[in-house]
Amino acid sequence: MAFVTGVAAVGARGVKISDAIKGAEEATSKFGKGSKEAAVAWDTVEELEAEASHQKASNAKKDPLEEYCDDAPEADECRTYDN
Amino acid sequence: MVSAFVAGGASLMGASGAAGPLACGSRKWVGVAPHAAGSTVRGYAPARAGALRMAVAVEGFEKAPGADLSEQGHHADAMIATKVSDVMKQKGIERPVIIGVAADSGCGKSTFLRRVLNIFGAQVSKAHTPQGDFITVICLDDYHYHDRKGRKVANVTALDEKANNFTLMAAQVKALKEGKAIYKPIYNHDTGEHDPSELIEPNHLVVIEGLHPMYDPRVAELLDLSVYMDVSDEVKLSWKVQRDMAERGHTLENILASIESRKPDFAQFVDPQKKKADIVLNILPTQLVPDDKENKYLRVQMIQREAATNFAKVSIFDEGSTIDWVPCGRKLSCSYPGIKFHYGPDSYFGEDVTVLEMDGVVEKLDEMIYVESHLNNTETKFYGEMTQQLLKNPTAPGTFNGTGLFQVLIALKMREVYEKCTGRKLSVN
Repeated sequence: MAFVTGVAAVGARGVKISDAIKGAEEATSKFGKGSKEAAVAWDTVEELEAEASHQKASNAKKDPLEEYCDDAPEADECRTYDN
Repeated sequence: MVSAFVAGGASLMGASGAAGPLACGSRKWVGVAPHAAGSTVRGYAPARAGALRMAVAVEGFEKAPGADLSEQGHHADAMIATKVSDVMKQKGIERPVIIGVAADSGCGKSTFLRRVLNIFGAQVSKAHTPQGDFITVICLDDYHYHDRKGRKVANVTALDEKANNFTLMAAQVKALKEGKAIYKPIYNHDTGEHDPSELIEPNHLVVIEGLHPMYDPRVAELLDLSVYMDVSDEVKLSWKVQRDMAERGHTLENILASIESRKPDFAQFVDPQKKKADIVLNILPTQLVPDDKENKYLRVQMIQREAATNFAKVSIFDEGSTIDWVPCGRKLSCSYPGIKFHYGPDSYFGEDVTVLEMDGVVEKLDEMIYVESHLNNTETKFYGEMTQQLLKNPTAPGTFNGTGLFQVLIALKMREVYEKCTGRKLSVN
């Protein structure tokens, strides 16, 4: 159940999202703006967007020093000064 | 690794002298009635019989109440241990503290979660359900009855109560609270389908986050602290524009349509939870700057329920008074547009609350320290702890406005609730 990462995944996710948006627009025109069907379709778009955003955040390249200090907070380079 | 507990406080009587841990989370929740289990869920026969999840017998575990309520069988392999887990003794868990966090931004509230982890000095795994030495974070989307396709067929949004198995949710959260391990369903947001259930052990602190931690009274009454993140429409729109415009095919109209069409279900099933939450983080547009269209500046309120007894309310100057405070001036020079605080009692949907409010930005170290020194009941363990925590994630969104500041305060309150409910004192790193 590993998350797919990398540029290909971002592209695939982007296609999924734009497909979902198309589906939501179709549902809106077919069933109406206030319809349950439109709400369900837009909810799916929201779910995909939120997930894409979380994936992006967790895959974001961390500052190398920050990453190093996360693993070794007691290291000399990671000392913090309170002045 | 969480620092060693100070053993002295590990009695059953809490620090306040009241009926200690027993008083935590024993509040009765009224108002929102749970739907009749499973009765209104419209299902469909799966295309392949094999799609039904078969419950495998696991020693020491039995099928969880509510496991059979998903008509498509997505929760059939949900289980609860028959006995208290060995982990309780191994980890020296006094009694699992359960905290609910409600928000509409999907699971993995990374910034808030990181701040909480920092306060506890804890780390969690990067798995679907982050688990660590001290904290476990459960995404309540795991209790969706249907997979994504199923919701389309049943014509329900994920916001709808009919889409969520509250019976199973309550049974499993209760089990964890009682120190029993569970096999919890997994809803995979990538595929939109359910994966086989995963083993979750009880932990010192279990955070349940999602759309409905307080919706069903059976779950809500298990919570030792409930937090609701409320974002105003205007700010929500700006955030979504910033989040989604980069994606192909997203226009402002689409974003607006998405917000609007989800609103009725949101108003019916999610929004009401804020009325009973212990703490509401209310994020509004600023009043300091006119025409802040991108909502670069924020006015943030921390609405604290008087009736919540598990934590002391953060205040300025003196509890019960009403204060409007502009810290900037001769002593403290502030960056644009400045900082404005308000504190005072109020009524929030018929409940007595105290509201601590911050508008503007705190950008400099001396501004943060100055503000920290004027807040009461923050429950920091040393002077400067709040500021230090804020600066641990300087690049995280909200660090310099009320969201960051109040997220740190809420994390401090979570620590306070933990200490009150277990009678233990945590030492700081």
